[in-house]
Amino acid sequence: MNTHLTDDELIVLVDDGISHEHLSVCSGCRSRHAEFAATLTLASKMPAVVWSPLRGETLVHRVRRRLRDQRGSHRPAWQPALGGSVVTVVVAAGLMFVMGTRDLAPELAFEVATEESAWEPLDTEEVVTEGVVTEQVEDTELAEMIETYLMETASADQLLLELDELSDDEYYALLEE
Amino acid sequence: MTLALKSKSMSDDRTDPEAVLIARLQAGDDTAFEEIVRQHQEPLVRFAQRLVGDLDDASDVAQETFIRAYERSAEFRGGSTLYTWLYRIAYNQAISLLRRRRVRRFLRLDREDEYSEGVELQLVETYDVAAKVEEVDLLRHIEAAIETLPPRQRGIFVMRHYEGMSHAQIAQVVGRSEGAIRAGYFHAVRKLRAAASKAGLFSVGGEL
Repeated sequence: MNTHLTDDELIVLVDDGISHEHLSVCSGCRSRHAEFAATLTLASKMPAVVWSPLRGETLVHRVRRRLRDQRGSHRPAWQPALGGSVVTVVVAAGLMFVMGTRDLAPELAFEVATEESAWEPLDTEEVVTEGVVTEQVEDTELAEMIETYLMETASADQLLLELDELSDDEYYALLEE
Repeated sequence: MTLALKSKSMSDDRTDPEAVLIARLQAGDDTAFEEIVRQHQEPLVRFAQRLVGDLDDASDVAQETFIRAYERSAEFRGGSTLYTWLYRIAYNQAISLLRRRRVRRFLRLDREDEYSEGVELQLVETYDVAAKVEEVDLLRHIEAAIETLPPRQRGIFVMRHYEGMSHAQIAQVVGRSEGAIRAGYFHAVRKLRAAASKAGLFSVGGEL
């Protein structure tokens, strides 16, 4: 067997802990095989993290608190509006029942309609405009950071390569850090 | 250190403790979620620490993983094990953090030696004190080489070498083909060998 083993084949042999007859007759492949084996053996000696029960409890507590906070802050926007409308309808119905007159109906209808207006979505034009402004500010900040970098170093290609790998979420998370 | 991931059997959902746990979680039982956190936190933090280097960052990755898992628990269909699913979320979180960190380093917002300092401290604290000084020095080089691997390649190497996952299992976590995973792993090992060679590992005969 004169064909040398490729690096990939040698790595597979090391990984699977098996031998190959070529290794017994080829000192070059045997040497490379030994180098891969030594490299992976060394990597295996890297210490693993020491995880204590205290750290574990801390993590559980942090997760629990995050979920509690999220539940508190993520109350659906329609809930207050719905609550207000229901209260108004109940009060109106009660008044109509107690007073036994239809004269109040137009006023009550107006009141209910006012509460129901809370169901309408926010002014979308305003929200969109705000979003654009925020985005523009963030883009400006990033552009300045990039410009600063480009002025200080010539490795522009590498930076652009790195930035290109980022998703939109990662891109903006970077700015928030 | 090696973790064998089970392949999911769909036939025994009613008796499989994991399936029961997930069913409880999806039914809104928060105690089931807490059980999941307790069961999986240590291997997840260990995995994340291998990826991001810093223990605090690794804890953050694990925390975010559990939060996202909770938020998306309704999406879990049992096509993979819970562990593989959590790994997938943790992997994505860690890769995202690594990418942001790399960009910040390019922009010089982070100190260049932040990671290396952390690794050095960990080596000094946890490595066998009787180990040869030369060996500790080589370990620093290898760790630094692992740190310079591109995030995805690093993730593949960690899952394969430290977590003992098969290429197929890694492919499931990463969402790439098995061939791509193999190629990434081989590339990573070749780079580490080059780094080890540069550090003088083979000048003493190639054996530790």
